[in-house]
Amino acid sequence: MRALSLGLLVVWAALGAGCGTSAAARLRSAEQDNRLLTEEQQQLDKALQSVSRYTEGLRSPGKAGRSFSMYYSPAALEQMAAQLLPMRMPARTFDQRLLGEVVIERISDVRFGPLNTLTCRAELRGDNIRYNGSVPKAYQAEVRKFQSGVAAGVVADLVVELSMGSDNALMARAHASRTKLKAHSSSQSEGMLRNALNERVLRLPFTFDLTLPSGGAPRGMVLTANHLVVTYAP
Amino acid sequence: MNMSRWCWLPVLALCAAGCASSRSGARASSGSATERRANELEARNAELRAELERKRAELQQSYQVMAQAESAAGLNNLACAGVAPASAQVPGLPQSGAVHARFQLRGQPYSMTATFSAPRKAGEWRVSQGTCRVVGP
Repeated sequence: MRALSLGLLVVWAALGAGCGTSAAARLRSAEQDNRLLTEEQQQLDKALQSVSRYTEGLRSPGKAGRSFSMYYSPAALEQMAAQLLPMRMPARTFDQRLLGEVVIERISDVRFGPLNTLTCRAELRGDNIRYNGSVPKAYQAEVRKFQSGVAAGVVADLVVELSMGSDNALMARAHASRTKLKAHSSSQSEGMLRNALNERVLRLPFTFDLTLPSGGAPRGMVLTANHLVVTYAP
Repeated sequence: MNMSRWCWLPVLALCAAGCASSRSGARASSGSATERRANELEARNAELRAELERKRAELQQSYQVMAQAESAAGLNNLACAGVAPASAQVPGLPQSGAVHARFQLRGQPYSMTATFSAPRKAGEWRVSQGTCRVVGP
């Protein structure tokens, strides 16, 4: 009987809590959605303004006034990326239990797409990668395969969303859509690598401050099929 | 003991029914202020989602329009170039050797510098071909 009353109390408390917080939880969730949607709307408004200003400017250069634009092709971005590479980072950036280094060797296949989104391919390789966690005997062969697979190289397909942030900054949010091991390909290992890339390495956007030394500030950014265009107002 | 086990069923049913009726009751009469605010925000969010969908479609369409406008203006295959209207001289721009982007990678500062050659005319535009160089720490 005592157990029954105790059980009833627990059920009552649980259901009570569920009923009582439902409106507050809905409001919290709606508020969070609203913040994200409003942010996205502001970004889209900014992007649409840049597009219409750019297209109007191209059609009637007189209206472009004293503006000035920098044009970058996909090949130019690849060349600039090549100047940064190879870039080494500790493997623990991917997973705390990994020792060694990851080397980003190449960025290629840059393509500009709609919605201010570009795609590219990154080639990475593990250097002296070791898994430092405890591994049950049955999985040790798998871990060895993973280590030599990463050492042979990884190809990651990236989707990068560009937007203008505050303070004249170009923001690039990258997301790995696919990862492929060059050797010992396994969907499980490749999925783990993709998650580690997205959740840890690419979690924060890359920020490029585009303010010119003369004080010129970027007025807009557009991504067309041929160019990334940053327009400055002197 | 069997009896006590069966007691749970009606109690749970009553609790669940009570909970459901209090929710629907609250919704029907717009209940508490929290509930009312949540309903308003959810409706506003649905409107925002529809608006975003429309704007995304507009931006998607503009992708082709911009490429066509670039072709018509004679601005094709510009790798790293400064472009200004031929009619309007913009003093100091493009400034050769100026830093065009600053960024950090793994906590280290980098910058991108553009060096321009003499401008050429392309239709109604003045194109200064540049060389973009990234400099690290």
